[in-house]
Amino acid sequence: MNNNIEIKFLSKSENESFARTVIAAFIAPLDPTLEEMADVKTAVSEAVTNSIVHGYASASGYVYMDCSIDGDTVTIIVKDNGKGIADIKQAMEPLFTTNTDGERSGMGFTVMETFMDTVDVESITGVGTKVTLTKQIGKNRL
Amino acid sequence: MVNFSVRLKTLIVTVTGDIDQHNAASLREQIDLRISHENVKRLVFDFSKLDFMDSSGIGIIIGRYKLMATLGGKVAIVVTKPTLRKLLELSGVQRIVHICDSLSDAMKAA
Ligand SMILES: Nc1ncnc2c1ncn2[C@@H]1O[C@H](COP(=O)(O)OP(=O)(O)OP(=O)(O)O)[C@@H](O)[C@H]1O
Ligand SMILES: [Mg+2]
Repeated sequence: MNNNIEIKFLSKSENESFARTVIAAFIAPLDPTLEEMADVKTAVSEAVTNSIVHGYASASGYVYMDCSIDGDTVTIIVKDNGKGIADIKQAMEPLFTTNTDGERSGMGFTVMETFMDTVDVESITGVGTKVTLTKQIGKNRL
Repeated sequence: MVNFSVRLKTLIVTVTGDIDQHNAASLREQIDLRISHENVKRLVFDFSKLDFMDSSGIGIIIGRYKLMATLGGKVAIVVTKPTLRKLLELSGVQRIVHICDSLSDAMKAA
């Protein structure tokens, strides 16, 4: 492992932009393209937002972010001790959402899967959720 | 940050900075207020100066599309960044709104 950071922050929506700023600064040494940078920031934003709005909902708790660089690959683990996901396969289907106000698209996991190389979800109801994202940076470089 | 202008019965919504879950609700309210106050027939989102958007933005676009549809109007979006374009294509939004490279194209499409 070349580098690793761990942070935790309260499940407040203003911390979504904080999480994006942290991951952008952390992967900057890998010299990502603007598109790769935007891809990673978007995926992290989706995972962190899910912990805040679904994991903790109206409750308050910590969101944990563990970021590593190994060679040219970044791994980001976003973890919460929130309510957990009963059916992970269903949750990851495009357009699936448990939100009922009609303003969520149910695309968060699909976005993560499209913008990253791998997405792994572990969850236990009543215990919490752990999302592991990886992406190799510079794949299209000569 | 959001700015509004009206041209030829088209409401142009220019968003700068970030669209995420944190600011989605306020953005939605501001846009809906404008739509109800101005007598507009079309809506153009100008995202050419937007720094960041995640799936919270998709919810906003689909919601405004539905609102404009009830008024008999159309929606177009100006997009310049590849990640944002991928996000819109992924969500199927391009099937209901026009995705354009420039504001002049969007004004013609909406
Ligand atoms: N950390 C989490 N804790 C508990 N439930 C979660 C968590 N992450 C996701 N979920 C569940 O999985 C569903 C799908 O998540 P996804 O991010 O794909 O869509 P969404 O958050 O509902 O909508 P969008 O991300 O488009 O705003 C959520 O509606 C929620 O029920
Ligand atoms: Mg989500």
